[in-house]
Amino acid sequence: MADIIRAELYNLKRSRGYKWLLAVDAALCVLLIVSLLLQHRVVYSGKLLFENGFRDFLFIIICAVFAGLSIGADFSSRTINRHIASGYERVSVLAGKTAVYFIAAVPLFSIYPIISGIAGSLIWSWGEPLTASSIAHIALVFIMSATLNLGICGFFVFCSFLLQDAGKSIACSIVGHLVLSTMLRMIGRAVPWFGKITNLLPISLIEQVGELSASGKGIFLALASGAVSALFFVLAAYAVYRKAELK
Amino acid sequence: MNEYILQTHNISKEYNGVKTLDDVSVSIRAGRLYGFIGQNGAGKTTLFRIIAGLSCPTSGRLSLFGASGGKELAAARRRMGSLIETPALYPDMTAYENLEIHQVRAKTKDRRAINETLELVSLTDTGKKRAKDFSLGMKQRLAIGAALVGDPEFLLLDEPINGLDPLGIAEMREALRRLCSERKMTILISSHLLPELYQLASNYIFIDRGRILEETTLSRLCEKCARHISITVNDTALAASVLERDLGASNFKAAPDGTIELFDFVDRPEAVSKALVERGVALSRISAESESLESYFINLIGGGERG
Repeated sequence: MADIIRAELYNLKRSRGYKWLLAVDAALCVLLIVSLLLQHRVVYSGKLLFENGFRDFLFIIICAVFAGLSIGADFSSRTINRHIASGYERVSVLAGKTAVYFIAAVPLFSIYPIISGIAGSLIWSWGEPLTASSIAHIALVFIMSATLNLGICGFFVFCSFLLQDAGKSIACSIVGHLVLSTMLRMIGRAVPWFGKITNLLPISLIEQVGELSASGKGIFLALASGAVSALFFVLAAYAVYRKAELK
Repeated sequence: MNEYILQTHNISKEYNGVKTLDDVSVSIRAGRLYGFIGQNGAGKTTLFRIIAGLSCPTSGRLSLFGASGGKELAAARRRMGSLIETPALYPDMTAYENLEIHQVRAKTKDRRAINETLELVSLTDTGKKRAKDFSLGMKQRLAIGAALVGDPEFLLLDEPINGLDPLGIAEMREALRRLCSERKMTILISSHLLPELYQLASNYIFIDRGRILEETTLSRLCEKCARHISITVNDTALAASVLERDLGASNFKAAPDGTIELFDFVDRPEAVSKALVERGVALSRISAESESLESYFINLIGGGERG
């Protein structure tokens, strides 16, 4: 697996698609901050913008696009086959590619909360005195949010290994994420017992990271939900990829 | 040392109930260059994909460098280089980087080996041009180069000369010959360009409709496709006697319909006709003939009988 990670990091470093997505990410970030500034009457804080930034839908969509451009495109160009034909087991290839995708996805969904947090602090202040404990809180929120978002990104990995094509993976990831999250929320509201389950999913917990970070139980819940979701989707991806006919 | 690099044992492959490979058993000996010949859809690529681990057989098993199971087989594939169907390249990388990524994966660094490989496939002057901007021929050459990185002992090439210009084909032919003779590399190559394979391979495997029809060597194939003089006479027995006694020929086949295929004296048909006529044999036809690999293959698969 280490061999595949090394090769995939080498590939990521040279990926134009990833560089473009980072640029789009930064441009969106600037646009959103400017739009916040234009809302003269609303007063934000750096802390609020930082915590809310992780759940912005746009940046999750960018992660979905990146899954298609990295994993899906590898199927389209058949470069993933090179690893298999060179003697690497499919489980290693899947684990290596997923690990590098997760590593690369973190900056994609973290740029906005970090920059908006800094910009918000400069414009309106952080919202509370910056002490050692508030810095620890920032780190905790970052880890919790990143884990939950990676749990969501696991779905994009699954779509890419299932459909084995860049375009189809992107379309399925975006539409699937939108439809599934909307449907789960709707059913959850209508059926109380189902609502209890959906409340444990990363798509629900990502909206409450601020509150969850206040208790040990909440922290555990967020970390466990993100990790279990990511693991679930990676295992599902392995199930479809294990004996798949590679084009 | 195992004499066979690759052996497939009764491999079959079905897609939606349709057999694309039917009980395929082949043995590839070390250090030889094999030509794998078959029509489109005969099952060549399917077999190559199974060997490379991209597809699983419905039944049967394969042994590569003596390894035949799960992890062992995967480890054995590290000693193999392959190009299957279209070139699998990283589009955003240069030619150098497309080869270097293999070394990065294997945790080795040998710039000289990369440059030598680029030289072998005539891609030394591509500079910072990205693979996605390459022509089809350049992509094909780079993919062959990628298959060669790591100095594999066994090379699996599926239609490697597709998209190459005549000069490129000639260069590739020379390069493959050198790899086989100098580095003792075993090569299994499929191609539609049968004259090319005829010039290149030392062994041949013919496949049709998922079944192996024949495994043969170049010398046997040469015998089968040999040039000969075809003679039609009124008296086969007398003509045979003249050929044997007067001309000392021993290499001929006489058919009851008056046709004789003579494999000696192929450059002197006039001497043959003179000897036969002098002995009173009436010749209705005499001509020099030979069979190409192409016509041999067409005859082998049933030729004109097929719809």
